[in-house]
Amino acid sequence: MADDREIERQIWEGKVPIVFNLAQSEVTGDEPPEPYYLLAPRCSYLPLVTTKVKKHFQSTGTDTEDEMWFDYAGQALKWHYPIGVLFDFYGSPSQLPWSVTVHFQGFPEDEVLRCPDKETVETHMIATIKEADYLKNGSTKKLLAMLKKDQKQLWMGLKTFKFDQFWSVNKRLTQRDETDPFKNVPFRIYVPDQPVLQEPFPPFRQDGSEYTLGDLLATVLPELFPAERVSPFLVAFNAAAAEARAAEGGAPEDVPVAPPSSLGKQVELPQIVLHGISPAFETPLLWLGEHCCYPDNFLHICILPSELTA
Amino acid sequence: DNAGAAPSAPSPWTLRKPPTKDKVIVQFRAAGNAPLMRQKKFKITASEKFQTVIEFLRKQLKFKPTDPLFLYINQAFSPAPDEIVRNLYQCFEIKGQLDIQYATTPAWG
Repeated sequence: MADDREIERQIWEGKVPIVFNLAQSEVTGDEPPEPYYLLAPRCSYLPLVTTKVKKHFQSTGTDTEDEMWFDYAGQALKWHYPIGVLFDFYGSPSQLPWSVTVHFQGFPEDEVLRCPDKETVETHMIATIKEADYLKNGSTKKLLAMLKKDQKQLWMGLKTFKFDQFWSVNKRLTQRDETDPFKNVPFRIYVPDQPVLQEPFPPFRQDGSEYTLGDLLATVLPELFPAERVSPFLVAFNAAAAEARAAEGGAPEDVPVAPPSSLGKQVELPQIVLHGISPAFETPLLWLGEHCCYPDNFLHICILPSELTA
Repeated sequence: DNAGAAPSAPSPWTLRKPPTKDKVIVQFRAAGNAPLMRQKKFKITASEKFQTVIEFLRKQLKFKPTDPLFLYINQAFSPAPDEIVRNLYQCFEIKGQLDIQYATTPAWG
């Protein structure tokens, strides 16, 4: 649908205002160098947009002895996460511009991957698209069927940040194929103080209807998103399963039900942030995967405590 | 793993998290001219990062840090070193093990 293509374009055009300051400990002169301001595309990666940041601090005489890296409030920023994910997870829309600290010393080897050149970003992006392709199709056939020049166009589209160049190729990877539907919707979910969540999750229910974002969250994070709050389907499913089991004389407690909610109804649910917005629980997951994935073809969903973003 | 599903439930998929394993089986296969390993199957702690798998394999092969080594899953893609082994296993295991190919030159990149 034409309207939905407009959504991809709007997501692509999303930007984060960032102010870069040199780390206090790396200031050599009497005065810290001037900060550098940048409107960074959410769908891009830090190494693709910070060449000028590096030049700026080099020009002020900063000792740029090691690879440039960034932190926000002491949290090292992984360049291989899209900028929008870093901002949604660590930053706050109430504190703009986003204040990021620049380092040229003490590279955090344990937390951040080395990124000596832009080709490293290309390798990472194509590998992640392949991983997503494998989740969607059970192989990387869609990407492998693509000409080398089209793969290159994906990368160049992202590198030079041209929507039409990127999406004219990427739509072949993200659009549903009626005769050969996706096996899974690729997602990564970020929750504070937890490892990233990534699991196989199908787009369609047995009856052909579509799973929703609420179904996904109630399944992978039942403690945070109780089914009775976010997934009418799961509640009905569990009730039907319990009934079926009872009809066969099975003990009702053998039935797999979502764990009882630890959150009372009065408690605010955590915030869900995708591209800076909170999608509704009833949003079909497949639609999100097709139109709201990042260029690496994954849905990157941030879960934040409600009080921080309320 | 649909072990707990009621037989006449409306969907074969239980919408239940698969039981989380503490350790998963990985099987290494050499590709191209990469040296073979005597033992190919190992149990790896599921909560580790893929980086641990890479370092473990380097040690097994007695590779120096500078020796080129490329790892792939299901002859398809290279995960990032900070991806969690459990996630990779849940998404890409075949017949209860995670198949990892290794090569000294890019193979499926």
